[in-house]
Amino acid sequence: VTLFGHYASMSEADPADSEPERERAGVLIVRAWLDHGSSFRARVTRVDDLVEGQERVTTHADPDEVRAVLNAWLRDLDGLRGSR
Amino acid sequence: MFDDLDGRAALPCWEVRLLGGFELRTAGQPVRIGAVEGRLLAFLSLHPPAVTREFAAATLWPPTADGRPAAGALRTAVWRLNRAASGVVEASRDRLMLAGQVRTDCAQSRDAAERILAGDEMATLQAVALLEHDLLPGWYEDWVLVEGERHRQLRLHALEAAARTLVGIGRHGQAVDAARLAIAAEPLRESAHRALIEAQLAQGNRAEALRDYRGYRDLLAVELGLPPGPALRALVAAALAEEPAPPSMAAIPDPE
Repeated sequence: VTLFGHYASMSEADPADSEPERERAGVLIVRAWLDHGSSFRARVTRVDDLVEGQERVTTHADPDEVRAVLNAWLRDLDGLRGSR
Repeated sequence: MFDDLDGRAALPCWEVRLLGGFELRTAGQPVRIGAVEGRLLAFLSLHPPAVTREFAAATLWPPTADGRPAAGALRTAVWRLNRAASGVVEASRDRLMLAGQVRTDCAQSRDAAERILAGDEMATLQAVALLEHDLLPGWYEDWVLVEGERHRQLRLHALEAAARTLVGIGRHGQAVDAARLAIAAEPLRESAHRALIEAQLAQGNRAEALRDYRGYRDLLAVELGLPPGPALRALVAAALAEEPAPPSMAAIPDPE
């Protein structure tokens, strides 16, 4: 599963006429698999800013943990609206 | 550029490398091109045999203010690319494709993986090195990530299959190398560790097999708080039961 987040804030009143003054795009890659049917395993790669390209990798044995990481990532992205 | 026997100028042979990172080469030497041209070349390499100009522009560039694909940016990139690397891209009025003499390592790797998975022993002996790297690591665009994950899955399965095939034909050292490549790609993948341990046991390296098992077990405990699966534990338990452990192995706890 790969999720892309993209955030851009515009400097002009009409966004269609302006270039983004601040833009940030991130990606969350969830690799999950079942090993011989015995256990759930997942490796999550999170990049909050593709320009910087710094990866944060976590591993999980519980689907609920992966959901928590996903929720936190979405909250962080949504929180950018208040940071302009 | 080389002349052929008829005295005509032969086209240069280009090689596009996408595995482990992007590189364009000719005559064994890297060729420097711009980042935009590199993206276009990578895109064409991953979309054989040809793409429409509209699809390439819409994928690689954001639409213009009036919502149309960035056809002008694409035209510029094609022009610059063929100026830096003559003849690498064939462009018609509405389509783009890599020229026929361009080789790509991703195509070679995919072909090798499919032959290995089909049980081709010669490919298995010769082509495991083509499965060493991920496709364009550090590139996060969606058209790269989708192909990258497909390639990653294919190479993981092929590396494990290669390890099994190599054990079957008595090439145990190469089997160990193939399994280690799979583990490097995904350290928590149990089937890759199983392939490694089976290769070590087939080679008679019981101590190495147990050391590899112990390393995996500890990694799994630290990362996920899990024990190895029952099939792997049974494999190691059977190996332990075959003969008494040497003194140096006495400290290794039995499989759970």
